[in-house]
Amino acid sequence: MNEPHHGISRRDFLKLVGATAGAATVAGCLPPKADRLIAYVNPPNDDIVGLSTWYASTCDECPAGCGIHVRTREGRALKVEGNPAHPVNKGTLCARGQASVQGLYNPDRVPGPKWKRGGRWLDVKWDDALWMLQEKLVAASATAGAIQFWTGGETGTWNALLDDWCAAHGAERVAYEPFDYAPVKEAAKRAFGTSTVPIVDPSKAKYLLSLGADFLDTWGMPLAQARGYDAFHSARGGVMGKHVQVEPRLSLTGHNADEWIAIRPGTEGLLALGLAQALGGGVSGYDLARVAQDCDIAPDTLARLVKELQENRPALVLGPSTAGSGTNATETWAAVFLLNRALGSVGTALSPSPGFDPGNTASFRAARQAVNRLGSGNVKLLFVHGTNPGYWLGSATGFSQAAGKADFKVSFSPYYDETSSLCDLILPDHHALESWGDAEPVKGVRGLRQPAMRPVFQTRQTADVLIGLARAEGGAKAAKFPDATFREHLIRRWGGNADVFNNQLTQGGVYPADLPTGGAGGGGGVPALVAPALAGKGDFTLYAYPHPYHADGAGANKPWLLEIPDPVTKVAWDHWCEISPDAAKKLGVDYGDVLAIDTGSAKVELPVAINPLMRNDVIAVPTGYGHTEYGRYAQGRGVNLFDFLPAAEDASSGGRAFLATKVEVTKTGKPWTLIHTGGPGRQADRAVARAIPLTLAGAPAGAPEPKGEPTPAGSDMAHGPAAGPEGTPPFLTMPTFRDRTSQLNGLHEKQLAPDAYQPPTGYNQYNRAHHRWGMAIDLSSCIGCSSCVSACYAENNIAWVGKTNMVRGREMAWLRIERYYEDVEGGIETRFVPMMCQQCGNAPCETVCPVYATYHNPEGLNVQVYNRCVGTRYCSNNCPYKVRAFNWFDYDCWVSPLNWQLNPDLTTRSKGVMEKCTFCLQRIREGKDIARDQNRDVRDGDITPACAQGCPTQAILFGDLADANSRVAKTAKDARSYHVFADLNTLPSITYLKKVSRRIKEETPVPAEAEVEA
Amino acid sequence: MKRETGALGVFEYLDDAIDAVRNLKKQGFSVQAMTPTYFHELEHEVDHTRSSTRWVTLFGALLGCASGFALCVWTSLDWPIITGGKEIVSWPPFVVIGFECTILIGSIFNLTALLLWSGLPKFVEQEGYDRRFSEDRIGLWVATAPDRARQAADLMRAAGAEEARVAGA
Amino acid sequence: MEAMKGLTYRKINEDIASIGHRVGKAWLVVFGLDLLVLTFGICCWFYQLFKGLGVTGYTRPAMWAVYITNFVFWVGIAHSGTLISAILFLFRAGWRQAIYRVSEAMTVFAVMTAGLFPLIHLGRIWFFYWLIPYPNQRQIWVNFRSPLVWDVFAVSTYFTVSAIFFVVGMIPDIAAMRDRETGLRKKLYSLLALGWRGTSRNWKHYAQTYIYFAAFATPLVLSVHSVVSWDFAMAQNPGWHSTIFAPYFVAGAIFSGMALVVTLIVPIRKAFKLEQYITDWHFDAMAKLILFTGNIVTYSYLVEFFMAWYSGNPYERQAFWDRAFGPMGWAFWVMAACNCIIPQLLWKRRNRTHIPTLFVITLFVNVGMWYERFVIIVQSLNANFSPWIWRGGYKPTFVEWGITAGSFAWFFMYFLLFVRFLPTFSITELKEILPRPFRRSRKEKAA
Repeated sequence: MNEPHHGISRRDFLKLVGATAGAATVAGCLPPKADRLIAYVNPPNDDIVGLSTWYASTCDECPAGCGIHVRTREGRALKVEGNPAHPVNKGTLCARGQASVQGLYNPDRVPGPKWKRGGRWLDVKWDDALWMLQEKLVAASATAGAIQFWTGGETGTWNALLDDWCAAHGAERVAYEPFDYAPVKEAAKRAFGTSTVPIVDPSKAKYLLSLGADFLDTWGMPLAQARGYDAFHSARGGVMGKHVQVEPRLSLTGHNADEWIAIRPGTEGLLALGLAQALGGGVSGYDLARVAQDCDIAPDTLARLVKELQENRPALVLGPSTAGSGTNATETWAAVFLLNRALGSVGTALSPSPGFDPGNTASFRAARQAVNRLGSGNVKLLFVHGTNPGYWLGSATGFSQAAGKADFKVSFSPYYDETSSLCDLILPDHHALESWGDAEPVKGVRGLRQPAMRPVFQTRQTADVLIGLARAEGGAKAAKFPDATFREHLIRRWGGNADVFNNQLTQGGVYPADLPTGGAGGGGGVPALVAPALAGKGDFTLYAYPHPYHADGAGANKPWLLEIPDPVTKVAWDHWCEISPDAAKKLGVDYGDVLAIDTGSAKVELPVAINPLMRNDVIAVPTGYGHTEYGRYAQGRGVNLFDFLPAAEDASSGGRAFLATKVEVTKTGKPWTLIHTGGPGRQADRAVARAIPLTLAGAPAGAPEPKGEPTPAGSDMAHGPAAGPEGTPPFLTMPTFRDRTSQLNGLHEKQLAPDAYQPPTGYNQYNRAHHRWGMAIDLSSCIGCSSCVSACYAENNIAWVGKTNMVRGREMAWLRIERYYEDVEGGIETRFVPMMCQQCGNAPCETVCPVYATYHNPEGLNVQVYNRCVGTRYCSNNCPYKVRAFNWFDYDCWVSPLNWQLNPDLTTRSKGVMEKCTFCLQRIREGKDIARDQNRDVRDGDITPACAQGCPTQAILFGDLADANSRVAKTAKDARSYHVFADLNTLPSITYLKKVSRRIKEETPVPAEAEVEA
Repeated sequence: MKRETGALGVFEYLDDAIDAVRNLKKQGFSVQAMTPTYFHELEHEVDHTRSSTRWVTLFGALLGCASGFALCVWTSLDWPIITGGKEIVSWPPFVVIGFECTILIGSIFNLTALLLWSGLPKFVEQEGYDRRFSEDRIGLWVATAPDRARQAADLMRAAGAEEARVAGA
Repeated sequence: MEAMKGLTYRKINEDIASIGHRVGKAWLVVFGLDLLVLTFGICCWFYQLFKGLGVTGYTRPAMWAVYITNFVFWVGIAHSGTLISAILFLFRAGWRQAIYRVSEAMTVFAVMTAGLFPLIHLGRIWFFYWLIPYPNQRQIWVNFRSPLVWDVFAVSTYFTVSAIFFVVGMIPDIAAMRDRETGLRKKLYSLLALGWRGTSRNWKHYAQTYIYFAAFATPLVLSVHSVVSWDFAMAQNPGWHSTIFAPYFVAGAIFSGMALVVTLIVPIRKAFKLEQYITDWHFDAMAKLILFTGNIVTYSYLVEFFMAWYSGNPYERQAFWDRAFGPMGWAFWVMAACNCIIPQLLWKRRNRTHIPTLFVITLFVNVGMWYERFVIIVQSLNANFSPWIWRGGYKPTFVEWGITAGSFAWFFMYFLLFVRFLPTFSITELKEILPRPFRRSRKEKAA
């Protein structure tokens, strides 16, 4: 009963048992959150029942610190959207940000303070827990270095507070996160004398050469970079920079590139120096011939590259991010910076100062040293907050064993993660959406964080806990913390004026309109580049890349992020490894077969997903899986790469080397049902995702109307069918044209006197319509990130169905990103198509429904009446786009409290009912109501569906096609516009804009359509 | 009720029965035959007029056709809902409904006519009926006053009835 | 009709009316087993009802599969019955009298089975009545533009008419049985016979109206399966959207129906020693019809493929390539073997009249025609427009199989009861084929 290392005296124990029993009984008689039951007798001031209340805050899912608006209803946070004013994301939001509400309402959160006795977590009262901790703290803080405080990489007030607090208690602070940016920072220090990650803005460059930077997935500030990339690459107005991705395995970022160069892993720096030499960057000894040899790149390709770089200045060059950073990462980045100087992008497209500060994370090396100190036994008291070393360093550095040496271990984690499972006490922190705080990702860009709702569980913000502990000790320590709460502390830090502060709160902080940019001096010189040291032996190099959603594993317990297919492989729920088709042939494996991956020191098995866009000597595995704790959705899924990878580090910066080992890959013969959404991945002549050569793009819009389509005078469907100049684009009929030729035509003669009572039925319901909602999606902008998909899940109460059902293709997603591979000269081009209900003018689904469960509403929407649906599923059969989802079960996926996130503006759907995209009908409704209250008509841009709202590149445009001046109506007339399956005469309301491609000479003909037009 | 009186003849052979009917009719008797199956020769002798049920059937069919189309058109106009850009009153699909209703109502009228005209169901005892008539014998029933019945019976015996008697007296 | 040698009116009454008494113990055993299977099917259905349709193997894009396959299969089966009793009646085909009652019974019971499946397949069967045309929910009627509503009308009409036809045809025979029976059966039959006495008045109107029933049923037969085929042809899926479907389905229906008639009659003939009534002549005629319709079906398959190629439409081409060589191609080849190749054996007269051979062939045809519907539905849906949704796989679970087996049990339950209690063959019409009971030959009469 009394473990020696467990520093708890008999007295404490008895006291606590009593207390715990008490707590248990109290908890027993009170219904959880009883106060909520009568919440609205006198509701909070800024909360009107039935109306959304929005709180400006700052996202905490990654270091980028995007500004967000949190939508709350009746005191519950429902959805997170980007803050349009914030310079980092300018209103957009990524999938991880969208899913943060599932972190807030995660069923596996720690509901309150927990104390471990005999391997089991007992409930304790906050007061008792703190009382106990106080004692330990006083004892430990007597001797310096007896306390170790592990935190995540933090910025702003909270970061400062931690430092002060640790200083006051003689505690050693270790801020660790696996994606530490150490090499970039180190290289930047050498090259520019800064200690931040340079801010990247492709829009300021003419040419983008990315040596393995996945700047659209996870690296840096993806949303800011995506915005810049869109301006650089979407070819609006016919101008389009060229993007060359040099990568062993093509990332999501690379899938958008104009060219892919499959470089040998770890030789990116070499290439950079070679190019620098060729471009007269004051480098010698790296002549292209040798570089071509070592990098395994065709010499003429290199020559062309040099030529293009010379002709297109400024050209932006980026170095390898996580996946590509080996033991020579710093030198590689130094070489990249050198090349950027030579190409004149420093200070414009690449601005080192002030730069992006991902938080003061210690390097991998520093973390290891800290672990050693921890293992030495001198550390008596261990605090862990906002980091998960048990998962990231568990066996890589022996953190788990070392932690055992500490007498008493306290975790502030809101989740039962790998680290808190090692601890004796959990004092759960609030989720970011419940907390106060601020973040300063870039100097001068200061985002504020405020609670969007009252805590879901019995948690306390750690900052308050620390302040409380310090003040309770009294004396000098207390004096250091004059403010009773973290909020007050925050106000002081922000100038001390509560009114000003509240004002800043409504803005979500203080920030400039755009990210601050600027060059910097310093020289650095030519780095001494060495080849990366790879442990292990085998034919394959292990290429561990960060999963776009799960990244370092923090998102692994969020069902949305597991259900939404990976943007590149389209695998869901499972962990996988990727090899090229040739490698698969050589190994004799097919999709889903299990491979054994052996580093020599460790061996794991993973099902294989075959990826045509990677080198034959590389096996790629995403990070973020393989949790042993952390919750029901994350646990037991695949392999923890942070454990599996050998503990190698970048020599200069000490950052972790993820490109660390070669592996032996063998076939196990075991089968595995690996979910794969999305058929063969090819279009089979269907022309779903169309492209137009750059040479033809940007032709002037607006053109004579095709014959046979007069615009009837007096029709309030004001504009004619969209069509470009003769020839391009192909004949395109807008659904509004159909409206005029169907019953909707000439309804106005039948219209009753305006003052007459108009029953809800009859033709007049149609001729009273003013709007014709439509959408325009620019495939040239879409980067396939699936942020829109997660936004759709969040907005529309879409059930996730889990692996067993997804294997049968029963996912409920209303919106999916179709990723098609197209054979073009020089390889494969990827085209992403956001596919949702096309709201057809001639909807095939409507005609076949026997009970009118789906019909055409006056505003041109193809509405689905759930209550009316009997589930014949005929509509789905007849839908060419197959965008209707059927409820095969009553999905019990909203495990409490996840159900708190459900949007009260629309229902959940019962079993046996068909559902589909509604263009966010509830948002249209809201927009119209607001307009009516303000006694005006709906303005263009008033209404934005969830998908369009969050889109990082604003590829989705929503509006009123009946309004000739609306952006969507204009865009629909663009020369690139087309309808998917136009030959079926469904007259979709969604107009796609062809992807502008550098890699095709002319458009691929559309057989079916040609036949129809002939 | 007062029992029907008359003469019953049982025949083995069809032609005998036919002769008997001829002779009886000459004498102005009204004859009713009872046969195990449909002997058109005999039935023609007994009653050569055509059944008028066909007019009922025709009426039913026309009514069905009209009501079928009417139903479609009226319900579509009653709450006009646009589906798939089709006309509110889109005739081609309505043809199917019109056709099916033609058949349905037509058949039901046909059945009703059959029952009414041929006096079914009828659960009162048929005078002179014999179970042999559903097997292999032909029966002739002459409904008439007892005094004339004997004459009818004689006629039938003369025609070759294997049995002829006065019944119901 | 040398076949009928030695038959007399009386013998016919004895033989036919006595079938119900000759069933014996075997009947009870078979009936018991049948009920067991039926119970299992019902349990599967309840399971599906409470858990949701997800317990089946259904998956997007195969939103329709085994249930609709069964629906079309049973509706098809139903057709031969009316064909024989109505069309052949109008054509005065001599060989129909002996078998039309069995096939009519088959028709009625098959429709009763088919009718179950559109309901079983509904997502929310508890609202099935919204398909019935009445202002049900918020005064909304049904959508008459939907082929499913056409189905509601076609199938219910078909059931009503064929049931009337069936019952009316039986009245004189039941009367005959009434006259032979005593006790409870007599009471029952007296009721069913509606007091039929075979009087001139009875016969006069009976004969007339029977012709009209036949006249109604004939176009109905052709329309019903056309309407069923339009469930597919009206949708625009490649592999469905085709004008050949109506005739093609009707032929297929008769094909499968005739096959099942043979499959049913062979054991009955054996069990009740009716060789005198159903002879090689009958089987030969039925086999010829099977061969004929079978070849129409085969031709349709070929035309479908030809058109897919000739149209140059990429969707169609893909769909039909997949149909034969796609992931579920095996189903297509099962179908082709059973429907196109095996029936060719019937060109030989010996195979047409050799009962065991014919019996086995018809079994194959039944299987083949089930697979035809399966192929048309599942394969076409799998090869739909959007390549992103192509999954190609569909595996039914025990639920689908259980309910399918149950449907067969449901059909045979009625059929067994029919054999036991109702005139399995038409007494009066069999008498029509015998020579008229004239004392003198026609010549003497004329003289």
